[in-house]
Amino acid sequence: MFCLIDCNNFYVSCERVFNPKLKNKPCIVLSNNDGCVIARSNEAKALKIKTGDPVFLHKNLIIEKGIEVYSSNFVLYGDMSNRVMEVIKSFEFETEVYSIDEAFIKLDVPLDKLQFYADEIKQKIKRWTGIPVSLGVAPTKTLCKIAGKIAKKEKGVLIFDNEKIIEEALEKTPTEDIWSIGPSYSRLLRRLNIYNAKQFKYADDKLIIKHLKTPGYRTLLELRATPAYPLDTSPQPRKSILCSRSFPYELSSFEMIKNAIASFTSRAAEKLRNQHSVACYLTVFIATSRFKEEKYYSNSATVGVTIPTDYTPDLISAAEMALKQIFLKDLFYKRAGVLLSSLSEKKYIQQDIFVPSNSSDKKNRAMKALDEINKQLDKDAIFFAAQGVERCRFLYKQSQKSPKYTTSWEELLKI
Amino acid sequence: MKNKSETIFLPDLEKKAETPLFAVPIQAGFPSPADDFLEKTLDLNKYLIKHPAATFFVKVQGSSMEDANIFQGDILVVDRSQSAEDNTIIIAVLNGEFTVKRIKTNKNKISLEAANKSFSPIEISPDIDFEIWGVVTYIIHKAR
Repeated sequence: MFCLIDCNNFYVSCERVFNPKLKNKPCIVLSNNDGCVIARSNEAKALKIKTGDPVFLHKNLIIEKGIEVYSSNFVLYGDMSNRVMEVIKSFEFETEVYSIDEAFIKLDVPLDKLQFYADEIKQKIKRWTGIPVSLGVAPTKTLCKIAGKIAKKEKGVLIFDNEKIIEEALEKTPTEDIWSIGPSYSRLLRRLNIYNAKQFKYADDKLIIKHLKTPGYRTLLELRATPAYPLDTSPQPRKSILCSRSFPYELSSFEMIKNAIASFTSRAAEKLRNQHSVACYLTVFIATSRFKEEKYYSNSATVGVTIPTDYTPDLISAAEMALKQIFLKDLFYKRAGVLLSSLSEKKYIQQDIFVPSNSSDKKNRAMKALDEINKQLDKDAIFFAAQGVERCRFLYKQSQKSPKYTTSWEELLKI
Repeated sequence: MKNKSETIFLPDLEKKAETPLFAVPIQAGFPSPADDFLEKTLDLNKYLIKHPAATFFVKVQGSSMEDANIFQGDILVVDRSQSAEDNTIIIAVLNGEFTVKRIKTNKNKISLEAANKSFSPIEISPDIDFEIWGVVTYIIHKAR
C-alpha cells in the first residue's frame, strides 16, 4: 500500500509551533512580496478566504475579524519541512519527498497493521516537530491523494482497504480534485458526462485514452487500484529553472529592471549549479500591471548561448541582451522574470572549437568559490555589480515576517 | 588523394586524477606514529543533539530558573522527542505563553515549579490551557 503524508496548512502550522497564541485564530501567510494568500488556517478558510486571493481583497475582513497576517518565511518553512521528512524517513519505509509538505511512502506492512503505523507516524511527526499531518493510505498514489484530502477534513487518517470505502469516496470526489486532472480536463470530462471520480473509474477505456492520452489512462488505472506511478525516490533534476517576482511598486527605469533581471539570473544560475546542469537558452520576460487602465504590455525574448553554461556573468550578459529587445520606455512594469531552459548535465558539454577551453576551468573555480562563500555567510554576501548595489532588497516587501527561529542565532525563540 | 578525416580531441579538464594523500607531509620517508590512530575531532553537535529533527534552541529571558543555573541570555537545547518525567525542566506553553519550568507529576497532579524563591508553583488543573513543548537537555551558559 502507498501512504501519503500531507501537512495540514503547512506554513500556518510552522508559524503556530513558535507562536502558540495563533492556535484557533484565523491566520494567513502571504506570498513573496506580501501579494497573495498562499496559506490559510481552518478558521481563515471558514471566512471564505481562498488561496491565491490578493491580500488587498480582504483588507476589511482582516481588520474586522482580527486575522493574523504573516509574510512568508521560507527559510523557516524549508527547515521545518526537512525535519518532518527526517521523521518520516526514520520509519525506514521507501520514501518519496513530493513537495515541501507532502511525502509518499511505501507502507509494506500487514493490512491489519496499517492503522497502527499510520497513527504512529502521525503522532511522531506532531510530537517531534509540532506539525499536524493527515494520512491517506491506498493501493495507488492517486487514491492516496483522494483519501488524504478526506482525512484532512475528518479524522486525520483514512485507509482505503476495501471496495466500499473507495467507491463512496470516489463518488464524493469531483473530477478536478483528482490528481493530475485540472480545470480544463474537468470541462472536457463534463462534456463526456463524467462529473466525479467514480464515473471516471467506470468510463470506457478507449474514451479516456482518446481524450486524455497516456496520462489519463494512468490515472484511470490508478483509480481502479492498479499502480501506474511508482515511488520516485531519486528526484530528477529540473528541466528548466525559473526565477521571477512581482514588484512591490512599479518600476519604469531601465537600470532598475536591469538590476532586478541580473538578480533573478544570479539566483537561477545558483540553482542551476546546484543540480550540476548547464543552460542553452535564457528567456527574459517583463509585464506591466493587469489591473491598471493603461494597456497591458507583456513580452519576452530568448537568447541562446553557443556553449551551454552555468557561469553567471555570461548569463547576466545574455539576460541584458534579451531585456534590451523587449524593454519599452515610459511604461510601468509590475513583474519580471528569467527562465533558464534546455538544461543538460554539465559533464556532457561539447566544447566549441573556437573558444579556448582553459578559460572554463577558471570560471568554474570562480563560481564554486562564490557559491561556497554565499552558503557560509549570508545569501548574496558576494553579488554581481549588475545586480545593483542595493541588491534589489527593495523588491521584497515583507512587512510581517516571523523570525528565523531555527537557522539564526540572533533570531531564536525567546522564553 | 584520399580525404582523411581527423578526430580532434579536447582535454577533459573536469576530471581530476585522484592520487591518495597522506595526512601528514612526508618528510624524508619517516611516517608519523599517529597515522594509524587518527580519529575525527570532537563534534559538539553530536554530543548535544541526539534527535536533530526534534531539537530546537531557545533563548532565556527572565530569572525564574536561576537556582537551577538557568540565567538570562542562556541558550537552552530543547528536545521535543523526550518524555517529560517528574522533576524534569521543560518548556511549557501556558495560556499561549512560553515558559521554562520544572514539571512535577507526583500523585496524579501536575504542577510547574520555578527555581527561584520569588516565584510560586503553578498548579495545572484540567481547565487550564497547558501544553508541554519540549524537554530541556542542555543549558549553554557563557562563562565570560
